[in-house]
Amino acid sequence: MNIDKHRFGSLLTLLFFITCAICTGSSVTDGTSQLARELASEGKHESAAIEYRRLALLEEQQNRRAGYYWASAYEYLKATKYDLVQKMLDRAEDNSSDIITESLLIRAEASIGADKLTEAEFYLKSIIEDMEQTKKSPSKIKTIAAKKMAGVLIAKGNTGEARKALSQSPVPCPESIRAVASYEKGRNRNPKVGGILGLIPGLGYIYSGEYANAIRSFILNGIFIYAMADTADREEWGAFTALTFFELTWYTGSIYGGIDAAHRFNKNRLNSCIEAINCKSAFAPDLSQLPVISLKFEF
Amino acid sequence: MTGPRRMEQIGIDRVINLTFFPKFRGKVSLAVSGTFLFLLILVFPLKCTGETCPESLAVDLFAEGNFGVCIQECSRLIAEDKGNETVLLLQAVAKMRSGKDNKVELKNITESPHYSPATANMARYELARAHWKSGNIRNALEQFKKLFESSDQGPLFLRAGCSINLLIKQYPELAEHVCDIKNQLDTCSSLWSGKIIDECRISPAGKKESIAGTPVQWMISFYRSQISPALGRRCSLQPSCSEYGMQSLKKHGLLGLAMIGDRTVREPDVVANKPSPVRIGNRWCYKDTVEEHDWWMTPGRNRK
Repeated sequence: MNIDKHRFGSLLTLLFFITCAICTGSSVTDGTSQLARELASEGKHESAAIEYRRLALLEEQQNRRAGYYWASAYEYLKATKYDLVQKMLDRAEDNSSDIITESLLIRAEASIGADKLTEAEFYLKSIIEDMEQTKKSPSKIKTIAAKKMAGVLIAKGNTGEARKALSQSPVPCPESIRAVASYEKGRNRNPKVGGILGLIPGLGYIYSGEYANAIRSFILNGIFIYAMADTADREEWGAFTALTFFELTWYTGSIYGGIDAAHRFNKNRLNSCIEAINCKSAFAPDLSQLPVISLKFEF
Repeated sequence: MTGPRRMEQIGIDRVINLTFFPKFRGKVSLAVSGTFLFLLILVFPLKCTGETCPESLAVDLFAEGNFGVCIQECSRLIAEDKGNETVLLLQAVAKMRSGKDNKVELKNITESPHYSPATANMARYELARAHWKSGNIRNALEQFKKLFESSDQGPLFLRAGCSINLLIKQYPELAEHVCDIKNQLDTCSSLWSGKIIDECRISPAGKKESIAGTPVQWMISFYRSQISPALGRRCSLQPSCSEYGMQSLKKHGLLGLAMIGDRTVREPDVVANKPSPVRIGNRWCYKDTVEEHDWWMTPGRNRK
């Protein structure tokens, strides 16, 4: 009987220690998870990503570990660390194959951010085709993917395909189609033309619609050219040399500005179109649900 | 045990041997030469397995070049386990990589009796490379020589020999100091593969900056040091126009002059649009970087 009591006592002690160990482990995870959420909400995405990586290392279950790696990738995406996004997603996918679609979405975003449009197109196409084959229900993911795909195709200069991608979206998006149509109607500026027009101070800026810059460039160049001519007339060669140096800066600036303004115009036009296509649609994970990935969508 | 845990206990010999397995050579191409060595020592399971090892986050951060956070992570691990000499070594090297002159700490590791010979040799290799990078070639040679003579790890031995050879080629006046080991160097020279040579080589300078706009840079430097302090900060953009000028001249040579001209014309427009405000001191400035105006010079860039 004494032996049984002794065994029972040992068993209780063992159970107590196991419970303590589980509680300690759980509180560490909860604390780190809370810290990661707070860092993310403060905009310290890189620090949040590191905390999620730490959580992934602490986690023993593969599915849960994959969730934390995915969250880390998401935070790295927010911190514009695109290489690390892909690295974290590789790890997430190594641990679980259930999050492929969510991973592809983040991979596509990271590729767009890193200007790797062909890669982004591949990932987005994978999401759309995979969903068509498996007849999966999350039409919201497909809608987001279709809109992103349209943006990528427009950036590649393929507006027809962009329109087609939008037409495949399960949720109709007429604003996006209108944005593509409006982009098609507009015209890009040719940087070479901008540069040539920049030979006449200010004209390069006018070509891209930057009238205030054009006036400033014209006035600055006008003043300095006049001053140069004046000093040359008076044979004040020291002043003439100094003025020539400055005029050279403004004049070459006018040419460079003509080219840069054309590029700026094209970039702004493209970005406005992509913004209009996305039409405030976005996705974000519910961080409180982690390591289970639960996406929230906005349209 | 009072000192750091002996590396033999955690199988570091096996780790060092695995460190130089060809399948991991791809990682040599990580930007910093020499990173490879320390990176891979820790990639392998030490006390635990795979990526769940507590050191693996610190190792990853080191490999990613995030040295500041790596140092913090190492401090956290050291607080939990003061005897983890792998982490102590990693932290010392991370401090070095982050720009801090940490030769003293590395020297302490090489000389301390608490560390295993394997760790001491690793630290010695890094110390020697640090001396070489800072132009202290005699000390570099001395450390490489000690390593060459004392190391019983093949990969480190080869790299020490190869580094001595490269150092002598770069500074022929040092040749007289290695007469005693010349035969050994000649014997093992056939084992230095191209990759080992590339890994050991330290290029004297980084990316060359354009010198075409140097006179203008002098003028801007003069303005920044002598005139600007009297005027105070007048530019509403970040970086300021003089800093923007310096950056563009360094990056693009005389083309930077045109970029300065364009910037001065654009400044009021940028301020009016208020993009990306940045608080500097008591005033708001607006971000307008060189990269925002030369991105199109890089082929394949479509948009930011």
